[in-house]
Amino acid sequence: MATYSATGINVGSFNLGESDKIVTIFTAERGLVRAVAKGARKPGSKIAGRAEPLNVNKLLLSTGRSLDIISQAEGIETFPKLRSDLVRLSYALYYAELTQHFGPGLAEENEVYFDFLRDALRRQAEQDADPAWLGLRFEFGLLDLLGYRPELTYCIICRKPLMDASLGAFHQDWGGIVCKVCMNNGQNDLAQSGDNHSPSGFTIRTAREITPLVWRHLILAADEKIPGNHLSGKTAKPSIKQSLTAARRILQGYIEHRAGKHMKSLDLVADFEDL
Amino acid sequence: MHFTRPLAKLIEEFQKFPGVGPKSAQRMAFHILSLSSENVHGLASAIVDAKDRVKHCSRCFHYSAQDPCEICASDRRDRHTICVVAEPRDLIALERTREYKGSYHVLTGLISPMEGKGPEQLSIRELIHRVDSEEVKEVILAISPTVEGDATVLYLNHLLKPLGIKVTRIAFGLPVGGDLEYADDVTLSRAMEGRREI
Ligand SMILES: [Zn+2]
Ligand SMILES: [Zn+2]
Repeated sequence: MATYSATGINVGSFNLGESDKIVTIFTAERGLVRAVAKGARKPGSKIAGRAEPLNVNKLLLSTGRSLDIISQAEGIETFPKLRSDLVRLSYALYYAELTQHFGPGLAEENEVYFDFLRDALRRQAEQDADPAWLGLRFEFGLLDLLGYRPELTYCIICRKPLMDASLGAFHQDWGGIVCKVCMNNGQNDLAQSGDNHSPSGFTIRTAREITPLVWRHLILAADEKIPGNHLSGKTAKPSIKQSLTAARRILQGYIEHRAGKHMKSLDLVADFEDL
Repeated sequence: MHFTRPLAKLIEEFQKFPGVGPKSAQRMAFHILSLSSENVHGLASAIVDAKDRVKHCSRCFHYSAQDPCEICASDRRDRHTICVVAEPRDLIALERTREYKGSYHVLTGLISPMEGKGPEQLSIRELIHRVDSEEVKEVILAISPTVEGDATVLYLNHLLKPLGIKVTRIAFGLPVGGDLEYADDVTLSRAMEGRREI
């Protein structure tokens, strides 16, 4: 049986038979890999801990007929601090969920994405910056790698530069912000035609309103030169936290629109974030 | 391979059991055919009887044919302590130790953020209601240290702490008879965290 070695981050798993697990792993060498962890559900088995989501392992894999099999796993990193904060843990799982979905499309950038994901998990585990801010950074980074970076400085319809007073809404189909004038035109067209797709192509249902504060969070998070600890988790004012959460949800909505499915991991803490 | 219809059907049903493959399913089906008619009827009615009569206890959600269950009905159990477990089989494992004399609460699963399995699908609301209404002093979380277990513990702690009761979690560490040098770093760090004076 042929074997190969890889370094990977577990991004999901499901049970196989009585005592095994199938683990989805994003590896630096081959991108997304699915492999069987034999005996991973037997108590006391050495592989059980290694097969847990979010753990980073050095692996030796054997190529099987349909699925590869993990023959050896050596733990390198486990982010134990993620296990003590439900919001941060949920964000980490959200990264994993996104990786499961978009992983196949990142095949050409295995190594870059592997480092990006590991860094993102480390930052979330460090518990320094606000988890939603880190999540927003992750979302922009992922969109960049996928080539879906949204337009934030010009109106995507009339191409005029955006200002606080001219902000309309974030348009998911077009991946950018629409100015107030174009948004109103779109709404009028909609009212006249009664059709969701108005002549200006503006689908009101997929648009989310943008306030100046929300806009600022998006602009700052999209800028890689802004340091990661821009917003500390404990000191941010409620109004800042609220607009940050709103900004992050806009981006999640955009990503889900691209993915064609809802990402579930953050549903659990949605109520906590609104507090 | 050709099986006559009823036999094929029986094999198919056995194959739905956890951990049973086609080979074992065949062996079980042939075993049934070799039994006396009386024994087979006994088996069939045991299956139907168990399914009909065993329900969740309305207080602790353990499996029982009576409601409240045997543990909840016993006056020898300490009602001020609730041990929270994920599944009935965890409760049975703890009962085997004969160490614990309090009552239980079975969550009927764990929170799984990635699967979208939330607290509303478990018996969490009922647990909070019990803690509120039963003069509970301590809640012991006997929940596995997996990602889902940890998420469930964090969530429960978030709900229970404001109620002003003691919330503890069972210790995790090295398996008895296990070798320290072979333990992984998470197990070791948890064992270190849960150390105690001797
Ligand atoms: Zn415009
Ligand atoms: Zn009971």
